Amino acid sequence: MSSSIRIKLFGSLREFADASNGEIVVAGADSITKLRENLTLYFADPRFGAVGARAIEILKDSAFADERTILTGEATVDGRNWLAVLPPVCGG
Amino acid sequence: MDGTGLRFFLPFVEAKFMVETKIQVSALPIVAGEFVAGDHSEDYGARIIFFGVVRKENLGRQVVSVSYDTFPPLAETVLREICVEAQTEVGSALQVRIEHRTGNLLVGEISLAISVSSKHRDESYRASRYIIEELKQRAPVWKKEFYEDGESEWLKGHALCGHSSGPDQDSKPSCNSMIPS
Repeated sequence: MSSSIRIKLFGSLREFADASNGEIVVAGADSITKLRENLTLYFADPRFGAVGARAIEILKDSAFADERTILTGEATVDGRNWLAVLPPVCGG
Repeated sequence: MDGTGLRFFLPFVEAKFMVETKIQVSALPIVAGEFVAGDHSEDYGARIIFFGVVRKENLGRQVVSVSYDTFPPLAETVLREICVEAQTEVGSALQVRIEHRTGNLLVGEISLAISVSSKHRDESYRASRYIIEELKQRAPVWKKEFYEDGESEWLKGHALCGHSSGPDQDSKPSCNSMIPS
């Protein structure tokens, strides 16, 4: 398990990214479920305040994915440099 | 937003299912005339074209523009999957072309174009409807509306992971079963 992983944020979550590329870096994890926990803890940091709480609410309805597929909670994270977090979608 | 102009235009033919697809997720403008003049096989006698257009009002608010964010690699994959499903739904060969915009669009601009060709009209109508409905629920695309009063808002959408609500949620990965309280 790597010590950290890049998370690409999309849609409304982009506004919570550190950089203009829409990414943040959080603690690595073995599984998507654990990574979701880490991401939640990241936004729960007091420095984010109410903004972090809003991000956590969006995160509850968001999916994790790589460039090919949506990942289940049991999917492994090992070997991945980055993953995408996708809030509810509304294309068209 | 993805304003990079990154262009995904991947011809794809799935022989088993007899669906030919061209998918493009791009910041390039969709020009109606050019889209209509695009590929159409003479094997097909029916063609349905759908345009999604940015409208000036939504939920009582006056819209100035809409900004589209996408995850292009996955969007292209999902749209291709939807096309294959559409062919299975209608049970005959299809030729499908989909273009979806990214970036900022003004009212009146085309955000989405879908062309479906088939031998007969019924299959084109059904497949076109299937594709747009599935696209709205599954394609990784997000839109933020900008209003006349200077405010803006991300539109609510469909979760790609499962919750208890909705008829199609069982097949989706769980969203947040392990979220710490």
